[in-house]
Amino acid sequence: MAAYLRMLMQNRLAAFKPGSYAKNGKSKVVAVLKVVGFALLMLLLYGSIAFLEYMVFDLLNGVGQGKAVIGLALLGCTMITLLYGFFHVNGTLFFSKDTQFLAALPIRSHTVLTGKMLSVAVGEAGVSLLFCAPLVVSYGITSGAGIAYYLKSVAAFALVPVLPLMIAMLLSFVLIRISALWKRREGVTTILTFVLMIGILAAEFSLQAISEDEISKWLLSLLIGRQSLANLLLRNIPWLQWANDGILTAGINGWRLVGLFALVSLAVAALVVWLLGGSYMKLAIRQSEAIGQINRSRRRGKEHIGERKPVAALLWQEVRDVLTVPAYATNSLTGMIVMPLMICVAMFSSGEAGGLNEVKELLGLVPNGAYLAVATGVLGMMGAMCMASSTAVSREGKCHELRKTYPVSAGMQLRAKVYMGMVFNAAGMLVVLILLCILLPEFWVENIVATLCALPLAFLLSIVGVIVDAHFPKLNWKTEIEAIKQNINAMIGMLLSLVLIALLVGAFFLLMKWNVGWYGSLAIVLLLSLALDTLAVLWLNSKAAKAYLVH
Amino acid sequence: MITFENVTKTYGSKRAVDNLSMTIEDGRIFSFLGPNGAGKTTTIKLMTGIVAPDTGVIKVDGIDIAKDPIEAKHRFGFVPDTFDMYERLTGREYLRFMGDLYCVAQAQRKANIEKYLQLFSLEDAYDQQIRSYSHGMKQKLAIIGALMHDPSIWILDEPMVGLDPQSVFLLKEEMRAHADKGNTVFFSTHVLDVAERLCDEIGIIKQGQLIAKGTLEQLRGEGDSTLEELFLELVEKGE
Repeated sequence: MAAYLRMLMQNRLAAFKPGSYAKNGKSKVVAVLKVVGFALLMLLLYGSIAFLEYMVFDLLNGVGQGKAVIGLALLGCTMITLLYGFFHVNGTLFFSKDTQFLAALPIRSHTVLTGKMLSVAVGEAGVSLLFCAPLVVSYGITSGAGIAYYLKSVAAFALVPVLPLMIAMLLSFVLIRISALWKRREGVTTILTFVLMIGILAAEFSLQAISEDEISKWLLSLLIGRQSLANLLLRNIPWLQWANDGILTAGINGWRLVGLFALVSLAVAALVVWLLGGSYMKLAIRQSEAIGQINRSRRRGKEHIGERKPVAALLWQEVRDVLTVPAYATNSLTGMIVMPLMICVAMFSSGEAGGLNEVKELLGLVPNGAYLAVATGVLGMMGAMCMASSTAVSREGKCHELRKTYPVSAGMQLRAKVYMGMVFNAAGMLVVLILLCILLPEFWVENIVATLCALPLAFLLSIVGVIVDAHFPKLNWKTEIEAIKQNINAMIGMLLSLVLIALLVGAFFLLMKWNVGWYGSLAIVLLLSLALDTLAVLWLNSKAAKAYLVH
Repeated sequence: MITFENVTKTYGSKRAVDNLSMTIEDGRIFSFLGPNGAGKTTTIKLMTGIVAPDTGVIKVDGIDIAKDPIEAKHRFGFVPDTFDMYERLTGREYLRFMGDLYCVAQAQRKANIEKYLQLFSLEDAYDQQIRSYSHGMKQKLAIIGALMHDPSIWILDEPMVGLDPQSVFLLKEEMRAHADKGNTVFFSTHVLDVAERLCDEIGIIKQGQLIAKGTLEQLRGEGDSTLEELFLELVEKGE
């Protein structure tokens, strides 16, 4: 077991060695400089996140609820790990390419499962610690907390992802078992993943659902300072309450609660791995073998050999690539599915039609132009969440070299990727548009106009994603999860998109300040988006296309 | 025709291809030999446009691949040494994709697909996903994909690896037929026996430099050594 775990660890750590970026004899100095530049960029982006988190802390601290940030962070980590960790776990356990190789090695099934889950957990713990640190430190400094507070925080936040990961693993086993009943199991896996995602979201919503009576009671308690906002948020999740109270309670009691949280997390993990470990390799091998059987029974006859333009062929290949690989589908389409899903789940889990009427009344008071502007921004932002564009070049992996021999320009290859991103963005927007038109029929004109106005923004975000990935692709990967989930370009693309959106929103508010009016401001921002689109297309066809051919 | 004019490619301090100049005429099968790490794959990468040379010019059918890469790429079909790509496509989908990229007319693609599927006995696997194929089957599919547009230049990187004896025989026949139509076939190999029997011309590369080029008779000179003996003699010279 130790040898396998060591190998996994070395493999993971090797990715962080600057020397590993120097390939094909390129200078190590250049590679190190690139890593340094990249680290600076990351630092800048992390700084922005830290600043945003500090703003949240400041806001809560202002109303005497500063300590609630710990509970918020614990809850946020749990929810995000549950949602995204599921894709990670599913991909690592059942869609990695090392299954057959590992099956031939003298390693127990339990060991493989433990190793894989440990590597996922370590990664998620790192993310959790990194993203929650600003909140923890902000509260720690303000409250003058001692070293024990920080030590307990590190222990708790490192272990927060464990339980959601175990839930994700259980769901993943169920999913693979069920999908094994169908021949086209990859499609079934993707669809069931989204069904499970709906279930997870619905469960999260229902856990947080509060009746009107409860709200009044809690608000009163909050106002007179007898209750913490964290207690309200965590009231249905006992293990998070232990962690929260443990971090915030001084003395031995605090340590006892954090210890209880750690013990329960690790015990559950051990139990789940022990229960499922024995059957893991059998299921994983069955999964990898069954994949090869797909289409075996498909009849010949239909002649799909009609001609298409090269760009159409490339676009179709890109779209197909995303749709047929569960790891790509689940990660890329999340952005386009989450928003409509949240609208639906929020509506149905509350089960209150009255809430919608209140929203309609509220919107009645808002100028149409304001509604239009907000709807445009929200619809456009959906593109920021789509990982399909920002990992489009990386996903080529080993195919990249062969693709360079195709008789099409690099610009055309990249454009096909941008169009693919737009296909998914537009599909997501269409779903949201339909939902909005059903829920808010009074605003159907605004909804349609907002969707049209959001297209240039979505196009821009799609191009930005492809440009980033064309310049710094991650082509050397073994599992599809590495190409998309563990690809920093996905995050950079997302953050750059958010920066662009923030700039456009800033321009919008500046125009409003200058009394240009809602419609005028929106029109100018739209023109600005189109101008940025043009610049981005020029960049894509020149610098990005050159960079694409260099890698 | 393929022309290399003073082509050099350096990776860091290592010259993978060092001032390479050679011409491969039409209607010939050219075998490119060399020990591991000699620069064979780099040369193929250079001529297929995968990497750009530091200096020098490579012309494919008289077209400079650096200046007009798209037109040059239309002229050749390339079979890589490993085919680890588009594994979720079926054979049919992959060939359609290749036909679309190379703008192959429907009648031509239909005729070529039928001909080569039959030739390489891939009809039954045509509608299966590529990842269910064996290495040899993938290689055969890559060969069909490369020949879809009847390229005037056919480039193959280690094409015999993983193929069964019958397929090797068929491939050699196809290479001969392709060259006999006035086309150029360029392939790298370690199987000296194949090179000896099949090729019209042989090139040997060592440490990035072309150390020998010509027909087997020209390389032999007055002697009657086998290609294996010649190869070992040339490669070991100066070591």
